[in-house]
Amino acid sequence: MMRVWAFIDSEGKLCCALFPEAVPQGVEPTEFEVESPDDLILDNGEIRLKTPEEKLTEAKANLLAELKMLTASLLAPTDYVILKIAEATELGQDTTELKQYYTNTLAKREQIRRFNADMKQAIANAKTLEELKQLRETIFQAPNTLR
Amino acid sequence: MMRKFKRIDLTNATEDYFLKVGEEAYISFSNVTQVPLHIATQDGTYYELHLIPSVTGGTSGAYNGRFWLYPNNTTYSNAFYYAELFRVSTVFNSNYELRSAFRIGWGASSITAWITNRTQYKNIRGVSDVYATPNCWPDLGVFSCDWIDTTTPWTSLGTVVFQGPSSGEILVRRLK
Repeated sequence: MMRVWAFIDSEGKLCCALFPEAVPQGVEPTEFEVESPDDLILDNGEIRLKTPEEKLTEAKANLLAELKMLTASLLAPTDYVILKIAEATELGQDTTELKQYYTNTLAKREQIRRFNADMKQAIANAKTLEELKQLRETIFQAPNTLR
Repeated sequence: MMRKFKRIDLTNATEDYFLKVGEEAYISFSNVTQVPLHIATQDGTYYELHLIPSVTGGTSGAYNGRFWLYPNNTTYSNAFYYAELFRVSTVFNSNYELRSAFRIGWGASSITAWITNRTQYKNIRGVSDVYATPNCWPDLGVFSCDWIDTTTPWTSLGTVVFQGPSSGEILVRRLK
């Protein structure tokens, strides 16, 4: 936990000082005990602590964004296979041989997509920040098992 | 020819010191989550920062999570854009985030960064090695963080804020 002195600056932004002397002169701060300044929110001109539900929703959105980026980075190296097959299809060629040649790659991509879908569902179902923290560990260990 | 910087030990400083061009601030810290740099700054200055952690190398043992430099010892809600490219043992990936302070690292990181303080353009960019977390031994990162604000003066370099208790040393050299 940390102590912060929260105030609204001249541009209407929420600011949190780590020491009272870091607060600009003439500004009346409000003191909070928080895990991080991100625990505070400016709500209709009032500074308040986020509710546990707001923190959970925010953490879910952050983790979903991280999952999306990770999934894209895992799929990207084999995107060329999909392009090759799509191109062959577009040219009216038989893609059976291509698909056979890339069987393992296509299976791996399917595994990545399944993992992505499972994790999305797990994030949606999570009820606590601790659950999300553990899910994050699982997600970032995934590349080890999805190789 | 290598320039020799005059070292100023700010480990136990209680007030901000105005670092001159050619001076190097040294700050040692042990088992703390906040490290006030106690360096006064102003428009038109430029610095090099080295963060040298003392966490033992490995793939476990350090906490996860972003860490920050709070300019003016303060966070400014959603006023910092952070862009990063990184390579860990398993993936090559990137991040682009909107934050409330300068993000300068993750977990236990060894960092070299450059700090531009012009009121109309305030930035920290650098290279980092995150280590001692899963998949990260090493994790090479290249990052840049802009304070999207052209009016607020940056008068105190600020405080480094870690996610968990940290130890190590910080060097800040004023180049301009």
